[in-house]
Amino acid sequence: MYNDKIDMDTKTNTSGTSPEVDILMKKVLKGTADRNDISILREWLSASEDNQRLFKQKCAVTEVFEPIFNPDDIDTEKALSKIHRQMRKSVAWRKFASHFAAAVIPLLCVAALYFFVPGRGAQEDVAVVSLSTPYGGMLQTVLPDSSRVWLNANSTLEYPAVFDMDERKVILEGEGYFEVRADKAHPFIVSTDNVDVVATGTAFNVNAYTKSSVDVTLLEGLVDVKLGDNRAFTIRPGEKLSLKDNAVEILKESSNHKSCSWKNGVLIFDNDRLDIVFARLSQIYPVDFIIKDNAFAQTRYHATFGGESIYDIIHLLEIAVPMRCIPVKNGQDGQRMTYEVYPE
Amino acid sequence: MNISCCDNDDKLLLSAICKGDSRAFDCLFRKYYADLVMFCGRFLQRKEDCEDVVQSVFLILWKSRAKMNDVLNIKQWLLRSTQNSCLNKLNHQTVVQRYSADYLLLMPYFSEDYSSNTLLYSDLVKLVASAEATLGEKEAEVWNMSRHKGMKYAEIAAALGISVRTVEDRVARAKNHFRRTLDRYWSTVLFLFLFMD
Repeated sequence: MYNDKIDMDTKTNTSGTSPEVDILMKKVLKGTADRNDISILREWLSASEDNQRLFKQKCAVTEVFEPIFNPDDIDTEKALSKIHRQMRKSVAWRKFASHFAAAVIPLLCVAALYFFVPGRGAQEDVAVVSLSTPYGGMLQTVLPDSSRVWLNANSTLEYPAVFDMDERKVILEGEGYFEVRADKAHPFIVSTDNVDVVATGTAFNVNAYTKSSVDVTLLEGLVDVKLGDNRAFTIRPGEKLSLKDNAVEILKESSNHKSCSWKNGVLIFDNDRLDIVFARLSQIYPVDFIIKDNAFAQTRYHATFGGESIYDIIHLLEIAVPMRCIPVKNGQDGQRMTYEVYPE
Repeated sequence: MNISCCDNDDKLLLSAICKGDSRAFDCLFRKYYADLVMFCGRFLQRKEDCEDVVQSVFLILWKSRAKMNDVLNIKQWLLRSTQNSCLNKLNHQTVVQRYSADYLLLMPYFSEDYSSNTLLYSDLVKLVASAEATLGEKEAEVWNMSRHKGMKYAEIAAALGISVRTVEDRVARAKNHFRRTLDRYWSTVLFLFLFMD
């Protein structure tokens, strides 16, 4: 690993990159890179903005000279007529629906009322976009209002393709980090099972993996957290609101860095209890842990992970703590795995 | 090349689409469809998947037209929506493709905050074509044989009486020339941007 780094920094050819990086980029653009290639390239990219710029230029040049498919094969007119058919279909369906309603409503007034209860018609006009991430994955994107979102592993974000006139509302399951574009007139609302986080322009992290508990950490600006039972709290930068089984606690976060580090692909444990460490791993990976010794669960632990697989992480934990993790349920067919944890 | 002038066209097209003008929709579709499909190629490997994604984005646009008034920049909206649909598709594929999750970690480096200045495939092709005119003589010769006559490196080496290694070098130098041309263009755009703001 160390050698790779030296090579990349010193040996450069005419294009400003080392041959190793050239080969890596080619592999990535062709889709043949393995996870080791990707993690080396990520390290190189995060080293400097010049590297990132170079990478974008290379992508563009590759796009022109080695396109992934032949641009001449794209038949715009054929696609357009396909779209026209689909456009007609939705119109035809609506016409049918309205005729049907007109004919039947007088007869089945009660039933019709039941089906056309508030909201339905109004919402149908705007498509809802739903983004979801797999275990161990993560993604970053920009919303229609230019706000940025990082979505952590095993999470889902839903938002309308176009935001409403009065508010910008998104629905989150799992964990997300938000950098909201300032707009006082249109509050930005992150809605989870338990709370609504209301912001106008600010940066914050919402962790809502578990149904009964939510953590909201604020980095910049000011947000209001509204609970289902009409309680509301305002939190300030550096504070973290923690909701657990209806009890609210507002804590000073020693380092904001920690709860949001995942968005840079880094997982930080800093003097955290072992049960907290395992709970966090269970949010991101399809793995559950049963700690067999209560006193042992209080052990404090320090570590930083970046891009390791869950197997590597478990192995490193075993060495560091020390302890033994024994798989008791194998995760086949997309099932979660279970480990029993014993002190050693 | 004039990218910014299309902005006004886009605004006119969009406001017509908002009023339900399907001919304006067709115009917008013809203008961006192929470029957006090529853009999807950054994320997805199969052309069919890419076409599906772009078609569904245009369908969303049409179905949501009543609310599209709030969208200030339709090109930006199309690029963002297309990228998001691609990411979503990619996420569903992770079940079959083992390394897709790792690829997603590279996403921040692929994407940018798209704007009306974002270069699409057809813009890049035009830029590169104009850069070909300023290539060095030797590079131009090799480039022309490789790119436009479809000759293999070994064939070019034989025809010119030089080594394959030299052919490779000249092609690499030509590509770097294109890369630098793009870079100059990008920095100019950025520069203009600073003053407009």
